[in-house]
Amino acid sequence: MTDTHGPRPVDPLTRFLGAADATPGRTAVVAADGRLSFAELARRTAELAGALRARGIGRGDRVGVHLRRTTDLPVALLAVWRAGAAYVPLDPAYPRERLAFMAEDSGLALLLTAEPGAVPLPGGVPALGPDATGDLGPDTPDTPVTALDAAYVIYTSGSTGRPKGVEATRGGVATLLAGLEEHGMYRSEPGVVGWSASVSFDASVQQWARVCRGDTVVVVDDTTRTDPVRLAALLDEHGVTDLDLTPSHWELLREALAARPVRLFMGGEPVPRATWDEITAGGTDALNLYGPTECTVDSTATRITGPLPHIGDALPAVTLHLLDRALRPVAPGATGELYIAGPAVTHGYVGRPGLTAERFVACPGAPGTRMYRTGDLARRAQNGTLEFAGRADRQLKLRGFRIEPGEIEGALTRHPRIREAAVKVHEAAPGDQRLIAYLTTAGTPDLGADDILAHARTLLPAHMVPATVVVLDALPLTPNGKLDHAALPAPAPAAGPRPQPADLSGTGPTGTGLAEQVADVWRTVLGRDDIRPDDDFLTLGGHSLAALRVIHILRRTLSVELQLRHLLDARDLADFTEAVRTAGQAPATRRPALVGGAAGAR
Amino acid sequence: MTNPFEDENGTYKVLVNDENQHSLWPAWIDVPAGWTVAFGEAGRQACLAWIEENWTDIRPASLLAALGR
Repeated sequence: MTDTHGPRPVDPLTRFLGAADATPGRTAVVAADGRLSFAELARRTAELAGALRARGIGRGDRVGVHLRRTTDLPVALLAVWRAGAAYVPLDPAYPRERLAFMAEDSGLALLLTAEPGAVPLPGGVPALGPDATGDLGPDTPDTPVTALDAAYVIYTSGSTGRPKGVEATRGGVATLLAGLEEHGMYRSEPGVVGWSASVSFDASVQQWARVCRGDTVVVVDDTTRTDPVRLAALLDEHGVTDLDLTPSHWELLREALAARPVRLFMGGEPVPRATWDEITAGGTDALNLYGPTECTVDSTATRITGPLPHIGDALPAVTLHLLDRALRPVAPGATGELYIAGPAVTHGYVGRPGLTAERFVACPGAPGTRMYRTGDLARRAQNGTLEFAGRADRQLKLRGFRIEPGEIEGALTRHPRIREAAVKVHEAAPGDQRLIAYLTTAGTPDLGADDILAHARTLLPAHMVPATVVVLDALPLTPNGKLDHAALPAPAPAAGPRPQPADLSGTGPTGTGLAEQVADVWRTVLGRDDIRPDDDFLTLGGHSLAALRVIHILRRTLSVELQLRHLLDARDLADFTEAVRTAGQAPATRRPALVGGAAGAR
Repeated sequence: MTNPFEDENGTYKVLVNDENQHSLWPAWIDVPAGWTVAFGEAGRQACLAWIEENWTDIRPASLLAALGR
């Protein structure tokens, strides 16, 4: 591929080794289990790389990384690069069957895991612990690679029911880091970067790989990520300067974030007008980043400021084409489909040549090169910035997650008694979007929503499990015989008549004001009236952001020290109410100042 | 707006570049410089089937050569 953009950016691993030489004593990684200096990170990655090399791992190999969010995780990712291989992130939070699929589909040469047996592996694929050490050899443990060598394979949702593994290159990661630098997205002094995204999402690359430029990376665990109180404490404790989040998370975290000197890297979904205006008016230091996984994380970036939401302009080395249906550039100001070209375009989808050839297509702009067809519509404003104008296909963005409804439909219809499935998003309340699955089923007795959702959970990660299931006699069709998405009924707020429990006050310590208060909060947040003590929050359509709202409201109204896990761990409403009661009786602990000061923060 | 790569009833070509990367291509649009026609014109599914059959590793040819594969 021709690189028309001047000198090649420096490989991220080369940059890491340079940083380790320059500032060996500086903190490289902080996680719940401790911290590593650059010198320690360099030593541990060299030892693990040696162990990988001793097992024959080298260029062209793919190594699965199935590790929890401790210091072991960045050690493993860098060690795979030092061995010359590409990593395949396997988040332990994913269902076992999905992990098995990714392990098989990507053709792993080896799996790094602390829990052998947790990921079913194809025959002959060895597993290795993250603390393995090996002989480094006399010179260097680092296998030299080119910009075209693979850096990682990250899976995204696939429209035909199968996730697809995007293979990104070391040159692509180098281009990303250099592009954000040249575009002025980083402060000049070394940063302290919160690593909040799952390693299975490509947003994690722009977070953890910052360690390669000498920044400190603070690993944020899942509970802290969406908990304003814990997050604020973490930001303060470690002096975090840069944090990624989705616009959906801003709604919940803004009080914690707006008052702190943190630069926000927003991405994953379009920034709503209201959020844009709020950030602009408040002078919050925030960036809007746009890019598909297929083009190595970010393709455009801009500061969030000014009158209208936009996605800015191309990062250096990225070329954007807005084309019409004859692949001609659209007129200025007209809406076209966005195609992305340049050295950050990935190889394509592992083991899926047909799918690769229909999305990564010949680029009329530069001889012999390819461009990625995003499926995103955009238009160029008079000042040159791009405005996002929706999707050309069915792909969804839900709370920052990229979802192909077809993949969920494919998973649902793998159930022997589900005939057809259609998935769409329903806005239950302003800003509260949920996945609804419409099904037709076979046989008797009728399949229960619980059975259907349990089936979905075995195949799909949590963000793809529908919030609500609607069983229909038949799916509505257009006159052409295609599914009529517009005719799918909105789910009723109260899903049909439900038998009332015989004695509401008999279930646990209810019958008091507290039980009613907690149930009220559920009703408000879930937008439904029919809440019972034996209801499970997640089954009723609750998701992590909704859970956070519940916790937030109860903390305020009851002044109890409540954590997200109290709700997520609770079996049902009665169980959760009991947890709230217990928390309320605990001796008063020092509470972070955030909660008290929040009301006046903006 | 219909995308030119998504027409199930359309006629397509399969293009190949120096890196042996393959691209589906609408038959009615000029072939870009640096690409040659490897298959077609044919229906969309026939082109995709040909690609599945003939492009066995999506990585660039120069990388595969360096890896000895």
